[in-house]
Amino acid sequence: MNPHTPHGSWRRAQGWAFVQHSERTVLLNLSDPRGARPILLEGPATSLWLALERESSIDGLSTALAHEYGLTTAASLVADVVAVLSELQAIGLVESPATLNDAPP
Amino acid sequence: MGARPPRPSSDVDLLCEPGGMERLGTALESCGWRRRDAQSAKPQFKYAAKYLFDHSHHYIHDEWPCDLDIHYNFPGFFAPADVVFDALWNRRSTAEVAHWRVPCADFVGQAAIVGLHALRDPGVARNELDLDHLETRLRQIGAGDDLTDLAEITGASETLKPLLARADGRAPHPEWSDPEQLDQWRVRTRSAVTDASYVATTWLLELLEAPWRARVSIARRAVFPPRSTLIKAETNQEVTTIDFAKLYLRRWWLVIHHSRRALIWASRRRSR
Repeated sequence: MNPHTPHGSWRRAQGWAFVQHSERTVLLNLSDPRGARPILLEGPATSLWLALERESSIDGLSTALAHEYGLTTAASLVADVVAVLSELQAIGLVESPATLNDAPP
Repeated sequence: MGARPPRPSSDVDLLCEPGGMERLGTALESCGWRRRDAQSAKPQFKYAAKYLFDHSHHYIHDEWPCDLDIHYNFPGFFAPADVVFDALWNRRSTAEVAHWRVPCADFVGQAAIVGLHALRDPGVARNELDLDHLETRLRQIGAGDDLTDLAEITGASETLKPLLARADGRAPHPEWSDPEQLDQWRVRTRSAVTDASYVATTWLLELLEAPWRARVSIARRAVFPPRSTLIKAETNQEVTTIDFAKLYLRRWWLVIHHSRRALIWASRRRSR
């Protein structure tokens, strides 16, 4: 992962349609209608996706999840949030503007 | 939009702009959708084909549990397809589907579509619930006159008349009076309780309108249709002789079950 990304802000990548029911979210990349396969997020991954309704930092996302799961501190979640974001980024679900700006031309 | 009581849908209905079907079909097929239309009944009929209407292509996808019905017209709108499409498009709205804004007919446009769908098969219990719902909603928002306006533009003033009356819409003017289109509509709405009675009526009309010398052949085809017709109508899988026997028995039972109503209507139609 780009060393800048944990400190940058994150947002949903464009082009995804999704439906959410309870702890599950099913997403489909409409920008690739020929190759798109549905992606299923469950539990905390759904929480993270919903928290990304607005562009947010790692700290902001960790705080939102800590609040949702009744934790007093968000610090213990930061590593997990970074790990999940990294996975979601790998499949094109999220992006970090900082990463995009740092990308080589 | 609320034009229909909430209930799960098994397919998605789309109205394709006139002339766009080939392009849309190609695009869908490139995404893995396959066209699988119910067999059109028209080729079976020579004298009664004019009473039938084909209105959509059906698409399925191996990985999607939801079908697509792509309409190139919609039964009951008798104006030319481009006039109907433009009338609905000009007053379009959007609906949110999976967090995307999707263009769709506005409430009045949807009321016309749902109304025509319900009025086409008045014997289906669910359709009466849809008409009750539409009546309530149209009265609530005072959209009866608006629906009449749309009905006049789209050539649905006669076909939607029962709903317009219930929705307190003003009387439509002018009334659509193409006799062939109205005949087509009446065959569907007045003789048919189900698809089976619709088919029974059409066979009877075929029989009644054919010259005498052709009637024996028509009767034989009605009672003993080609096996290929039964296979296409029921399944894509191979069927055994016993399966064929069951399909014939089922066909005869349906015809007998619905023939009384169909015969009364077909006779009245012919004596007019």
